[in-house]
Amino acid sequence: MESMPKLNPNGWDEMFSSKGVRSSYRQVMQTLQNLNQERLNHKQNQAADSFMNQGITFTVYGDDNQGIERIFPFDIIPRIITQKDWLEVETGIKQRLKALNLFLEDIYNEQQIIKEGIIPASLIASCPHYIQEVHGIKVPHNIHVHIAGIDLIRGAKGEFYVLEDNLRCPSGVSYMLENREITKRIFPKMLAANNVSMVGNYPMLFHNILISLSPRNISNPNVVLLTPGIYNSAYYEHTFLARQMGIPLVEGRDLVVNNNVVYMKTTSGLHRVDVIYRRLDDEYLDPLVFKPDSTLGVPGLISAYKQGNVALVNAVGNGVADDKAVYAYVPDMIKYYLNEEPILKNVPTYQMENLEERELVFADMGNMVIKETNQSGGYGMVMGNKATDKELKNAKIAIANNPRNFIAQPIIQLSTVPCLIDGQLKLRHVDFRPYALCGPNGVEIVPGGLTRVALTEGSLVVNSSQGGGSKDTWIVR
Amino acid sequence: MKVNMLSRVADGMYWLNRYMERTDGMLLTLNTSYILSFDKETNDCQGYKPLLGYYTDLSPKQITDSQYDTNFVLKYIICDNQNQNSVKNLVIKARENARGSQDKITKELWEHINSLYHYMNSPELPKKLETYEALGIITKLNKDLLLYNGILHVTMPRGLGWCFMSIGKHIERCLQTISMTQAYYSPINYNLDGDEDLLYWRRLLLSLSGYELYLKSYSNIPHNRKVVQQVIFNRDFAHSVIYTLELIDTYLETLFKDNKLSEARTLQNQFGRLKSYVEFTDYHHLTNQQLKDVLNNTTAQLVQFSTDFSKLFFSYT
Repeated sequence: MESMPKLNPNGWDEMFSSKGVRSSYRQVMQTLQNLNQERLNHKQNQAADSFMNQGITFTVYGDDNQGIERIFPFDIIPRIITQKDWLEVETGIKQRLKALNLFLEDIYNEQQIIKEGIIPASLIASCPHYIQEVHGIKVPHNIHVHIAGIDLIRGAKGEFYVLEDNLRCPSGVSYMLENREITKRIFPKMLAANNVSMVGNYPMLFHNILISLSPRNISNPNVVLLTPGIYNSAYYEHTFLARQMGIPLVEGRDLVVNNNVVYMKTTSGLHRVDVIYRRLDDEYLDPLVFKPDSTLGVPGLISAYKQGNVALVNAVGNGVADDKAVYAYVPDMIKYYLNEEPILKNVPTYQMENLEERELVFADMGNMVIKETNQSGGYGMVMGNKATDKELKNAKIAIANNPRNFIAQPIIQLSTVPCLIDGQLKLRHVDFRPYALCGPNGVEIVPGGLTRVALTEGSLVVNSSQGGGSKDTWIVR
Repeated sequence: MKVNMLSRVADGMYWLNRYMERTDGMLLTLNTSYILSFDKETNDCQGYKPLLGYYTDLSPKQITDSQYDTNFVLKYIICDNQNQNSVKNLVIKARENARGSQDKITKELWEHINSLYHYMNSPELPKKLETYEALGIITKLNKDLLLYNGILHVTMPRGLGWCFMSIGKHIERCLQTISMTQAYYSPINYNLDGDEDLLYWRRLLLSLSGYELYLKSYSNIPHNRKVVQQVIFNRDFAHSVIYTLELIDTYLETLFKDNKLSEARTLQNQFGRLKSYVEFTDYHHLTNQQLKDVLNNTTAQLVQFSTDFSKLFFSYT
């Protein structure tokens, strides 16, 4: 096996510096060098089989309408983050989440941040995810974001940037946990030798937070996980989390609201529900308030929620805080609410509503990534360095027609990590999504996260919906 | 501690086990008929007819045309997408129900169903069934179903979910036993005093996993009345009608323990009448017509019970 792939001089590689293997990766490198290609391929196949047998798959439909199940690719070589780097990430995310929660509490109540001119009112008013229906709501412990997935990338010198905040229904945490379980099986010695921090307590921490949000002061509140159903691409994760926390996995049709109280339909009659960890987007939660033709939600749910008879996790309306245009103001939020300097940097972001910034972007489209403010999962994104002239022209027209709907950011060369591809180490770009939990006792982050990999050579798009894969992430102590 | 169960999930677990039991019974019948097809018996007037008659929607003419066509039957029963009751489609349906109740079934059970699903969807399977590998495939599937039952018994908690799954399984098994019995008694006009030999009855007994027990329990000819005793009234035979009804009764008892609804009482009475009907039938003096009636009436009453049971517990939409 080739020991050191060719490095990008303008980028940061997690395993190699120009002087060779970084110290945190030495044992991993040694293990890999001691294995021949056949053994490595065997381990890669072992991991793939394990994902397949557990049903950690998504379905691809061919011309004959026969579904073929595929796994989300898992690369067996772990990504390592040192304790020093992790501390920066952890404190930075805690700070950010604290500010975002204060922002949501403020924006759905007093709106001081607008009154003091920190954030333009027009930006909030034009945000499609600002939910007027929950204005004035009081949520338990003033927590709106109970679970957040913060996407981080590393620049050319290894510095961390926040790429985006996921504050609605962040997914992928089951992969963080399952990836570790697979690693235990394929590299037990290597894992033990590296003193890797545990991530397995995540479901317990989360369950405790869910219980603490119950509107009824009872010892055993009924906490449920609301899923759109078995055809949802994240259904595996929903079942995984429900099983890990020992809570019922419900669909909208299993719930009913009576007199502003939510019940689930059981074989012995109706049973009151106290807390709903919902994996449905806001607009599908309640057909009486949002999409009237949707059957995924529960009629009357928002009314019960506003009455305080049921807690929803995450709270309704969080989309206003992870809107890509609002993202640019998070550093200002941190200064405004916490009177602190942001620990984690934002990627420089240009608002297309701002004529000056728009002209700047238009003049340098080849080095920009254009993103739709209300899209995620890699959809609605134009990479300036890969797009054709026609695509760039179309992007300019779309921006000019609806500038609020777009932002632009300079293309940052994401850091790379070696992946096992065709039996050889090849560098691929990665990002990192740690999962933060916010409860009455503050913010807790399990030391780990999901490393997503752009498996296509040179690609910077890591989303699983766009052909990305994942790696186990080790925070070494 | 009392645990509530979502009606939808209970429904899913009930049907998961019904589909798996159907698959199990069908594979056992297929295995029996396939292996016996290598013996060119002179009195084999049915071939795959009992299998095709109960487990498929084929018309009588199609069944007659294909009752000795092993190649067609293997593919049609195991992996034909158009056959709603093929092993492949039943496993797909079972897995769908398992997915919907994944938080209530064990990881081990889910992974077993899931790997069976992937095996059934492998593109090479239909081709392999045309080769000498066919018997190996049927044997593997039979073992997979045995393993399913083992995993079910060893890993699943004995709560409400277990009750619903067990009731589903035994309703399905009871219907299979009755239908297979009808398939072998109907051609001889339910003649209990006939002299069909063991070669005739072993097909039925092997299809119901009861051949060895029969040999151990009953001596010599005539068989016609003894086979009825085994498949309907023998409490030691796990596929007999009375055994399955008794188990259903036991699990109903658990389900109804805390249920004071009048509908629950009605349903329990309804099932009690059905069970008593079989239990108090005197098989020593059973006439040919009575045998036919017992089988027909039991099927009709069990189907009605199954419908009413679903209405009571699974009305969640």
